Amino acid sequence: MSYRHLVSIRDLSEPDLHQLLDLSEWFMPQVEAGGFKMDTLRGTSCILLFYEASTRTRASFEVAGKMLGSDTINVGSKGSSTEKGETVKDTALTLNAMDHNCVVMRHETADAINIFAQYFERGLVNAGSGLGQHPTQALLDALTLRRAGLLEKGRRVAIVGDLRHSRVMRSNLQLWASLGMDTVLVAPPQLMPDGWEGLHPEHWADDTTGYGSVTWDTDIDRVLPDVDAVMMLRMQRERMDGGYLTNSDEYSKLYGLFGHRMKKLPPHAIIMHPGPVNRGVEISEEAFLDPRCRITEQVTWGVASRCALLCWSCGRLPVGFAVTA
Amino acid sequence: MKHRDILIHGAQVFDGTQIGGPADVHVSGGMITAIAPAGSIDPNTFDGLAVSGEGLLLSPGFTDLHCHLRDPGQTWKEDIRTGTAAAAAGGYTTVVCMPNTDPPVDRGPVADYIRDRAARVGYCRVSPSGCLSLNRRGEALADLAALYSAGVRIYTDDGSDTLRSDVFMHAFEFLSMLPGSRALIHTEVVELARGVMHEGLVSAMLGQGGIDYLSEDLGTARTVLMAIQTGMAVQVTHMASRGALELVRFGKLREQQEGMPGLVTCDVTHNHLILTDRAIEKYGTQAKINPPLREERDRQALLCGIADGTIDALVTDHAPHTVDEKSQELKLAPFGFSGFETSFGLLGKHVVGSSTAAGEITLEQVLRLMTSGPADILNGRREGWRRGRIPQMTTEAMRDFLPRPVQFSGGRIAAGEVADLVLLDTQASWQVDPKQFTSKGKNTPFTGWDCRGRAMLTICGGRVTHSRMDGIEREEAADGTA
Repeated sequence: MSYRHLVSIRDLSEPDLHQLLDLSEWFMPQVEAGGFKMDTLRGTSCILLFYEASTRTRASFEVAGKMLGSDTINVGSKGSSTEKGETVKDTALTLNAMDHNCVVMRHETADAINIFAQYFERGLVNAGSGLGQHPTQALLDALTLRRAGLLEKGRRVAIVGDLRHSRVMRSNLQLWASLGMDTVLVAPPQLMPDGWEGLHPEHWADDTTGYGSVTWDTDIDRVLPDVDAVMMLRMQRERMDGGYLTNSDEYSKLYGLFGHRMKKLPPHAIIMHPGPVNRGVEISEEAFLDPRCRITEQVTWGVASRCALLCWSCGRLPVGFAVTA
Repeated sequence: MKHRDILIHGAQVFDGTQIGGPADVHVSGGMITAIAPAGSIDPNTFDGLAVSGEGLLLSPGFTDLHCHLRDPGQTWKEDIRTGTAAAAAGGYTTVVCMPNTDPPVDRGPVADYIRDRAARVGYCRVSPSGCLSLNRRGEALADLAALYSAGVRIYTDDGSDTLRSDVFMHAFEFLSMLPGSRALIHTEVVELARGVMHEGLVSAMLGQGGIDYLSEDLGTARTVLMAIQTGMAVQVTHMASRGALELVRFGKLREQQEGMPGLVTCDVTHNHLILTDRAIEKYGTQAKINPPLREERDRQALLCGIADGTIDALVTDHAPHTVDEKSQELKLAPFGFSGFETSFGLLGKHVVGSSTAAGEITLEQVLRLMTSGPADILNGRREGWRRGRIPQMTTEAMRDFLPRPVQFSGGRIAAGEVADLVLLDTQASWQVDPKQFTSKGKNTPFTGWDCRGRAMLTICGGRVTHSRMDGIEREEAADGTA
């Protein structure tokens, strides 16, 4: 196997996707048991190149790398040559010349990862690019949906919150639509991207046969009874500065997942949240404790999913994992 | 409160659209229950208040989309009791008061206060407008949903325009999903509006700081373009420049092209239809208003806008201040003067019958712009297009912001409409005397001016709220403190 890049969720073919999910599931029992060490990536080095803040993504990649025997190295914009004005292109060339096996990169712009990808020949994983893509989050969400039996054609998922500023929405929607699943975007107009119709598959896929639909609604109560899963996004308080939101109280009452709305959500449906969470604002403590809630599990599964991604991007599969045809 | 039945017999009836022949109008339980041919109901055996409308014109009560009641916080200028009493004396049954009070109406409880107070001591229906931005500073959004639930339908930062365009746009976007909401915009680029009067020949001659055309025209362009982009209904209020009117016409053309009739509406005050910047020379601070009185060509253009139907409503911009406040230098004196009690009479004398490029202005036209025109805007009857374009919020999603029921004048006389009526003597000749004003604000440049037409009897929800007729007394407010 050879090195691979995961820049956009659209880079993944369906067999690739299922192999990654199978591999993630294969890692699950080991991650849950804890304390395992493997030799799969022994002798490799993984750079965690984070230009933007992160807790769970960075920590889960680092622990995944260490479990697999790789040497993980943290590089941020602070304390690196970026501070001295080094361009993304030169950073890519530098790391490429050092023969690092894999770079996991997060950047505040949507396109830095594409520039980096042109000059880096080993494994590359996009851990969040501006408002553009967050494919590893989408994989983790796909894993969550698959374990609940919901990752299949015809299922319907709602994403609620600040969609104007959400890379998570963009990656997830593209993945779900390509699998024939329907996405309902739920947000007030000022939190929708202008020209949101551009999110329809016909604007980004070559052939939309078998693709699911993308719709918009302002009203969460109208949407909840008909979905198989709901993903709540963080209400970004920093956005209030631009007048995007009135205040937490109004947002919470209009869009929060609370008691009366929990009753509307079908019994089989699941609740997801990419984190970080404002408890009590977009989601209540009660919803957190509900058996349909997968938010805490998602963090654990994140480690398994990232183990799979590092193996995949470095082109090395663990001993004992059988590649399904 | 239960009011007696009322019969108004023999008056000509303006039904909100046109002036028809004499009829008998029966009011019961606060509603218009019947309109019968004149003489078909015997006033002598009528059980209730029988009013002879012989020689008078019965019109729907007037709706004013733009006034200042100064309550809470500036009650030395006006309060809800005196302000609504003045409105009733002018023939108004519904008024929308501006949110530049102290505190401003940027949170639900302030709107609740105004509505509750008006219900207890007022003489007309009061629809408080809410701020677009917090504290009217233009930097963050006001509590738009909470205001909606408190009955607010008109949103504005009036007194000024909204400072930041991003905040302005996000407010429009948020409001576009609340059924029946409309932004009312005092269009102004504040950097170009630091002066005290219209910037032109007169300001140059007087050596007074000017407020440029561009201030109003750029602000209007921003509002109109914002409405087209976001699909939020707007009303450009108290237009003073012909440029603003042209920009509204552009907006109305675009709304037709894009299938959104009623997206852009506009209003003018009678002040801007009658006076020009020359009035500052004559009347000094009494004529200081914002936007300023402009030039004769603007006045002519606005009159033409009435005649050709571009203008959707007439407003008073009733802006009461104390005599002392208005007696300072132009720079220090506040903008605005009282308008409720003179608007109809001044319009009747100085606007009705004016000839314009689009024909002569008729009494019917003026009455429409004081009744059905503004009432349709306030009642959300101008925006059926909204549902298709932007998903509207259901009451279920708004469960924490359940709108309080609102009832405004319907602007029409028909069986089943609320009994908000004004009996007008359209021929009454009289002169403006601010000492006779019910309003606390005794300022007006029109002192001594001739008027034609006067409200003789105002009825709001079946209650007599103003009377100049012998033997008919005003009925006091529910808590009797008036």
